[in-house]
Amino acid sequence: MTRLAARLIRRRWARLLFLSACLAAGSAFLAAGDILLAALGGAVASRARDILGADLELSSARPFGPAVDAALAGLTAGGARATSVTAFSTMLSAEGPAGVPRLASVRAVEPGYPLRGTVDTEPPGAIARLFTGDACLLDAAAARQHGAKPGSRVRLGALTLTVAGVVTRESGRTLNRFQLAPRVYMARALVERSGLARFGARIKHERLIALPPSREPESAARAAAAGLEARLADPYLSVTAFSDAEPTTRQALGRLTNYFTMVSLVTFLLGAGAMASGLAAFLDEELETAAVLRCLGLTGPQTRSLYRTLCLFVGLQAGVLGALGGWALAAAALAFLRRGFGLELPASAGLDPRAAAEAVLLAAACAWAVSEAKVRALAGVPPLEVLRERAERLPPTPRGTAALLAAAAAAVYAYVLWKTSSADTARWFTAAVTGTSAALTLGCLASLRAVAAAARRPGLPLAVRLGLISLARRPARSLPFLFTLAAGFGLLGALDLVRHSLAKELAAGRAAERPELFLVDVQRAQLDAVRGLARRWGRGEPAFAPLIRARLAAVNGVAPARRPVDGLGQEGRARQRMLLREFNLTYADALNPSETLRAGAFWGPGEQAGLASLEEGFAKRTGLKLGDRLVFDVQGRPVSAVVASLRAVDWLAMRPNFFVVLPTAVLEKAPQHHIGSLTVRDPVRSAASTASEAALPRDSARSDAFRRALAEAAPNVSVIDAGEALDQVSEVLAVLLAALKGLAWFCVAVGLLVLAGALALGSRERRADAALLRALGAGTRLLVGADSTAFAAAGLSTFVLGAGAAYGLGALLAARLDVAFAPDAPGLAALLASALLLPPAVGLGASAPAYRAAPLETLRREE
Amino acid sequence: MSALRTAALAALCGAAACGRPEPPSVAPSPASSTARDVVLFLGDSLTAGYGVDAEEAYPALLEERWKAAGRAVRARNAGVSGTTTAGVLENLDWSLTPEVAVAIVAIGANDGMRGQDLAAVERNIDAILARVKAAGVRPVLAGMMLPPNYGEEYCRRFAALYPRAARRAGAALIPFVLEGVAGVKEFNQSDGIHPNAAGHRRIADTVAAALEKEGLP
Amino acid sequence: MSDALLALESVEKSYPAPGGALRVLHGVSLSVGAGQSLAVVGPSGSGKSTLLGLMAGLERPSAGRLRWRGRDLSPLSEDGLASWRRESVGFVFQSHRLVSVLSALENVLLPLELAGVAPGEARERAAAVLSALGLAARLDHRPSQLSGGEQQRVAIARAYVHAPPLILADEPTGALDADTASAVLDSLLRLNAEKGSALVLVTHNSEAAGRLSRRVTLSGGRVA
Repeated sequence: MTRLAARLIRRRWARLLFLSACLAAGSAFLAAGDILLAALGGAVASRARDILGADLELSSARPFGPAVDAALAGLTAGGARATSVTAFSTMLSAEGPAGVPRLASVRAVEPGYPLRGTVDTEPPGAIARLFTGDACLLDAAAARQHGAKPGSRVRLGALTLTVAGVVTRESGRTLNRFQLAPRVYMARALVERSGLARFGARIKHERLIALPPSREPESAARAAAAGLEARLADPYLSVTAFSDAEPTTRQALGRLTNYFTMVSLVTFLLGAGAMASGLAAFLDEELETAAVLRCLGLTGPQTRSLYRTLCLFVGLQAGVLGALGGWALAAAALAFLRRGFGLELPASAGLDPRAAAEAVLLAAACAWAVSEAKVRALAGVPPLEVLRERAERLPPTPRGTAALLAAAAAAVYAYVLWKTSSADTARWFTAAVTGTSAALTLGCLASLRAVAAAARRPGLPLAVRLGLISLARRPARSLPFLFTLAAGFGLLGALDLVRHSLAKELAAGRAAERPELFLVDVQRAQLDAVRGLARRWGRGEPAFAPLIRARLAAVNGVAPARRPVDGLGQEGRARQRMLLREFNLTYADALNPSETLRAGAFWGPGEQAGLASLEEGFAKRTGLKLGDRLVFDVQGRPVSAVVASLRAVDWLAMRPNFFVVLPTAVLEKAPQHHIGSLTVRDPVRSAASTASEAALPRDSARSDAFRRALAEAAPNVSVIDAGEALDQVSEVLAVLLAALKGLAWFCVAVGLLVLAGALALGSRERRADAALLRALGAGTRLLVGADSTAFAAAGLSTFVLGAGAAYGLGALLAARLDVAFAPDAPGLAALLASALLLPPAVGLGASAPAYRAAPLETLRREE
Repeated sequence: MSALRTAALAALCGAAACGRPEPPSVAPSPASSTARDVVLFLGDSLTAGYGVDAEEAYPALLEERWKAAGRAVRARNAGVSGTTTAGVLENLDWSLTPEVAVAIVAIGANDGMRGQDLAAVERNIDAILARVKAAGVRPVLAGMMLPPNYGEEYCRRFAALYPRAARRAGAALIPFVLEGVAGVKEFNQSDGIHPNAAGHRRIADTVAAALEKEGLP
Repeated sequence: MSDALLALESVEKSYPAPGGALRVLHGVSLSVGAGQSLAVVGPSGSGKSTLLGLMAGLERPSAGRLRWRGRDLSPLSEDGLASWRRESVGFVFQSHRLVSVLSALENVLLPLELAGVAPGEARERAAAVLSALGLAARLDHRPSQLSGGEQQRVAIARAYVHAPPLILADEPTGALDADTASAVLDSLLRLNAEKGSALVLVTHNSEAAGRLSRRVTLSGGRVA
């Protein structure tokens, strides 16, 4: 039996190899995706850790007690490192009577700081000098403010410190920690002597922890954070894991991971589908061989076992190829990403034996599953039927097919559940795939009907009629063919559309056109002057908005009174918190560019009525809806407003945006100050920049000039500079974008492979038919014409169905990933043009030998 | 005073004339001459009651106590978290309506914590007190202090400007509103800087005592 | 020889095989005149089918040449050969080789359509031939719905429908039982007599061979 199987395998090795390759491509992608995501996740995590300066941060307004020390001792015993930081604001001035005191943000550190990332200084290594004398480090802004350089002396509290160096790049800055003031580093041991940390001082105590290396640093950090929180149970203590410290990249990576998972699954499904059709065709062709073997005495079960072995072999081969291919693919991808960006990606991804075994098993299981029904049928068909040529192909087995489809759906569900740990996502994905498949099947059936109808039209040229007939009258062969093409292109199209939307959003997240300076506390009288300065020194138009503080006094006549918290769930408590806190209101008479109307109607200029427009997420969280009558307490005076519309806000645009907007006429007299955002730095160094370019010094001369002018015109206005933090986020997002692009190419490659597989289906038959026609006297033109017609019809069907599937599924996917669906018309058009043109090109290419060769040669070869 | 009232009346009539049948969304001050029975609290997050409910902030607590004592006095909380002396100065018109009898000014902490030029801060406080007086309202200035981490000199200069400003304006001075509250664990929220409900009760005590000494409200 | 329809001159055919080329035909020469019937007999493996395939231009000889009405066929391209076949040859394969997705009528229509005959006339002619072979009731049946004998008869109809001067039939009754074979052969010969075409019949059935006017025996790739 094994000998027989081995012989069959040897004779058909090329065909079987191709079948394996179809699945292997998908399998390789799954494996590579895993490796790549782990590497990317690790790199992003390490970047996020750099941003936080640690894996974990404990912070409190009060000094830490022995409980904290004990808890930390437990961690350090396990190999973690810890360091303490004392942070506070103070007035810093240059030594001497001319020194003007300015606000500075002090970080008093211990040797070993930072645990993650670096503090780069000019001159290099100056951080070590902090611990050898009364020294400090100034950041560039502080140095400029005080006209200080290494060697200068500055006064800080009771201390006089020598400037050991100027900080050029540092970790420990996050988007959440906007600093109003420039940073100063000093040794923690000096804090007491400075006299600044006495009773009543506003100090932030920090403990930073670096955990020992682990396979999954993010979950390790979260687990450690949760453990600490539970153990210490101190409401005055705040524990932050690095994974939660920088939401933008984490969110981006999370979305990317989900997208990758879906893409790899889709690729795998495509490969599996191609393999399934290929195996089905293969088994059809084995019909005669099997019949002969049965006549020679092979029993039904033995025949089953023989072909099952063959199919399992295909699967195993696919798995091995996939594991190896995945490893190679991941290595190539990592090399590419590493070369282009400065991320710390692992040098090589080791071939994980467990992952490889997984891939092989998965592939084998898949191969077995898709072929089992046909194998059984193959072994069950009466041999004489075959030999009498009554049975041209294996009978379709509705029960078998239905069982297979159900099993496939279950498998998809299980896989997504396993990978994303979200039953909701798994359900959704399975439903989406099943629904799309069903829709496509119906579409293909309709296409076949249309083709058959077209074939019946009188007056068609012979070639066209033959071509259409060959497509229409072989539903068992044409249906899987059309389906594979439409599904392949449709899914690839959907993924491309989503990738484009995702890339656009990531790009927006890293746009250097985003403002990096924020102005707060601009008084109304100062607005014109400040706006003028912003226009002069900034690039583009600055954005200002008025901010009015208020509380909510009543909703529909009822004051939002505090209810005992026990009765409320978490959502209820959150809602109560939101309703009882202070609000930031603004007034405007038009939506700004980052807002979109979602429900209701926004008013126009000159509106006098008391109306309000709420941000949709805010409305959802507070339970407020259209038509609710609100009364705001604006510093003791009531202002009424009826909720007239809901808006969506693109917070990533970094404009001043508000949860609640009222018409200008209603609020313009209320006490207010203005906030603004503007861009000062050079936008050229933006979307195209790599890590090396990002290290260029920012346009600080402009920024400085702006600040000086602003300080003179409006000394009370504070400037928050988010530039550097944005830069760091930007770099990571650039990598993710590149990964997405590479992914797109891979998908194209897989798509072509699948296409080739689909077209290989029945190519044998096509060639035999061509030979026969030629034997009857058909010229090459007729043969090419017939095949071209068939493929063109298939291409058209693929185009139409694929476009529909791409658009519909793409929109669904985008909604699922919480990404704005931004269909990329050119990309989709290119994809669909290839859907229209590739089938004929490849199909004709595959049949080309038959057009030119002598008929008997072809017939002999195809036998 | 009557000029102001007439002006307010005219503005309201004007608004009503070119407006619509709907009631104006900002409740106008009563047009008829009323008793001055409002104590206005101008200030920042301390006054606004950041982190506690509106009823738990010290202005509301004081109103409760006055009501309980049978006084027909209302408190108007015009505190705005994060505001500075410049912000209060700019927006006085909204708050200084005819019913206001007393204005308690507790401002400047944010200026200090942002390291602002103290001379400018003092100028603003002077201007605030002057405008209050010009509106016929009795000013009360709450002295503020900065946490010691801002450095001894700056803290000293900051604290010193309040008594000076109060003297110049002839306003009553509450020496330090956060007496016994600042830095005390039990009276503050987890950020260590904003008082909790208990802290506000203590502040209400301090302010009530200081006001009583002046025969206010 | 001069009025030969198709003449083979020292035709040879070899195929590549593991262990060197396999020569199937060695220097075969024969000719068929118009209206003649020729039986090609011989044991299996003697190269009969190969010979027939060469005669139809379905393959090219490794050596030697074929002449049609004196004209050398070697310079013709595949298209040229196809064009020649369209007009001049009708071929009946051993296994019917009907197009499975076309009905019996549509299969028989093919040669006429290839020749560009008008649809109405083509339909008539095809139906006529099929009726002559007793298949009037089977016009719309697919090959899989026909019995072995019926399939073969459709194949025969297809070979004759365009009235080619030369019919080549490769063991058309090989896969049929004796009775059916006999019936099919009868149909073939009768149709041939009606149409007046030359017929070359490859068969291992000596009784069938006997009913044709000439006989050529192949053995080991050579004319015996």
